[in-house]
Amino acid sequence: MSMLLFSGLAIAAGYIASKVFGDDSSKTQSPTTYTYTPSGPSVTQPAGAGRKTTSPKRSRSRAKTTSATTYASPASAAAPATGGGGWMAQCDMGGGSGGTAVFGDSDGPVTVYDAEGIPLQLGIEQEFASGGEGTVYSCPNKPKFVIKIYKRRILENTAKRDALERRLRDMLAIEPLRNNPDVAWPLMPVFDENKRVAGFVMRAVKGTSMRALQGSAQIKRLFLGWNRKDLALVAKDFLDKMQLLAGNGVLVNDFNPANFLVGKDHRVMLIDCDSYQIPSRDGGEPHVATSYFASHVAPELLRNPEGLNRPRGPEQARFGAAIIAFQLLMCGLHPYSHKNGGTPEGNLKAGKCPLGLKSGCMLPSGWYNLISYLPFTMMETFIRMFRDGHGNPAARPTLAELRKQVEKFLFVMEKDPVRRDLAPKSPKPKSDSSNWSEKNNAA
Amino acid sequence: MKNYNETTALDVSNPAPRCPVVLLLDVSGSMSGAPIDELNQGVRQFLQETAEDEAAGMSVELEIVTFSDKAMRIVPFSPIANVNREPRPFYANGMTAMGAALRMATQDLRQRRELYRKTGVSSYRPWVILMTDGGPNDDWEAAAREMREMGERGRIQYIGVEIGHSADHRTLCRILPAQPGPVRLQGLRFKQFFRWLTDSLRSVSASTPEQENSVRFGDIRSWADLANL
Repeated sequence: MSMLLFSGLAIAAGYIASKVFGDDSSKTQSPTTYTYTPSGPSVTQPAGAGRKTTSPKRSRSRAKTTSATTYASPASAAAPATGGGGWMAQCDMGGGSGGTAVFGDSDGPVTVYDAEGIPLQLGIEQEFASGGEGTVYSCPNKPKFVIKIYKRRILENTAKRDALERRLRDMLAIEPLRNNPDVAWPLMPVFDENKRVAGFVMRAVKGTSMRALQGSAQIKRLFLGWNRKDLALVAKDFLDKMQLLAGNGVLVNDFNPANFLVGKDHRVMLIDCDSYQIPSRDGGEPHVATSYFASHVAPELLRNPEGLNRPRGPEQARFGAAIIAFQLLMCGLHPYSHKNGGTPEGNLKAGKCPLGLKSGCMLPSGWYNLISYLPFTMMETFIRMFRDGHGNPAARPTLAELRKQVEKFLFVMEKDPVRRDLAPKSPKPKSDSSNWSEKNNAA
Repeated sequence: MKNYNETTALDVSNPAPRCPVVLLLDVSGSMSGAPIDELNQGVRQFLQETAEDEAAGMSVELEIVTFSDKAMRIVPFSPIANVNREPRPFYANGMTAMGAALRMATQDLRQRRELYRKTGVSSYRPWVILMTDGGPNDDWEAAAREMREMGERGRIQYIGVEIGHSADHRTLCRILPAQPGPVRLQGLRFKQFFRWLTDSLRSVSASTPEQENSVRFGDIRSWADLANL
């Protein structure tokens, strides 16, 4: 049945299959142009949630000692550590397959098949990341691809497996994303020995976790020679990628910065794409993903967590994308962080955002200088997003508006190099001549 | 002379939520020999591996308090990246002033969290690690009660590790939260314990403060003797 479901895509996938499953690597050509390979240590952060879980990408040497991070939707949130067992209740004890090779478990070799039944064995040597939903393997001798295999507990659940199959089928049908070299999008399904879907092949992408772009000191250390202009270029590409997704009806639910990789050339690469909300080809309800990153989720969803289990709207994805864009431009500062506040998500839920006048709260210590150099119109756009748009999703600016503001910022930074400083010693002078260019641009 | 780089000032240009970690380490005379050597190596490894992690290196702020005849703040709260990774080793001698150490840690934690709040820096639940091969022989009950209550209310992650078989298990059960109580280290597996701690802090730092209750830590059987739990 699985084979039948995917038969329409088998021809398109055939080309890729020959690259992944075939044994003549010398003839391999990628279906698109890309140069990235599976990354090791640079992707060591949790890669966002799968349906409900997420885990750190693990380097092989530490794989057995690295614990998983689980972000559950409120409906199924894990018991707090204050319950029986204290901190020990959060420890994974006694898991694993006991060394037996079990399909879909991360500790044993597995054999998967392409649509034509050509086998490929994946062993522990190939495993480089494992999460709550599946394990990602590099392809033997095919560094341009990786294979995600779903966990056994998911594959054994008929309803979950069917849902995954439908989601995968609809993802494979979105060509602009399949063909984008910066998107780790499913390229073809793989099957188990019973010809049931077991996972998929995707493009390998490599970059540094966006999480690294926080704090001027760390940015300077990890991205030699970068200044604020580089961050704005990353923000621009990030918004382009979000627009590309939105243009294809796809929404990001989990704005964990670790789900986005950044290249030295300012390109943003998208990983963990099977946690996105995918439109249904038959016009029904979209394929929902319930994962989220609490500090980057629209306030109406934080206040009413039931909404996390239902299809989300573009204005909600816009809100999360805007937080990422703001953080990129502000060296990682969260737009709701403020003095005498709580956690970013607590502040977000309460709607306390220090941007603009009469906000009722103050920016955290030490951030005024950096924020003062943002153009006025950009600040205005962020205020519309985070203050006006907090209780009124319809007031949230579009991704295109945000992108336009980033372009303007790039323009004024070109004219005024002072604005490129990642750690300005003083705020922008009130009578700064660059105000002229700002107003000129805003006009 | 500074053994560790004691840069205690809060780096406000770092936007990452902070995870304060206090190591309360017994360096009384009974720790001499292999235990103190292994502890020294474990702490070094912890400093190195935690500071190198992209997320934990930005979030973890460490304080080390040792206790023997008195409690000593060897490292006041500092970003872990600023702590000297090759510190002078601890030497074991004297008694076990655990109560004084608990008092010091409680006070320092309170001050640090207040500093976070005032400056607008968000934070995760603090971690307090108590490692001992004996039991307190100073005035400990009031300080221990306060810390234990914080642990029982889930305000801190409070981990008690017994070293060897001469640890005063009964007293430690009164010092630590009832669940899970003190956990005995398997032999001298300090390095395995600190590796587990680093990995746990990596996972916490990669989450958000309000989702940290859902974070999963690794299996503790690499270092813990669970026979008596």
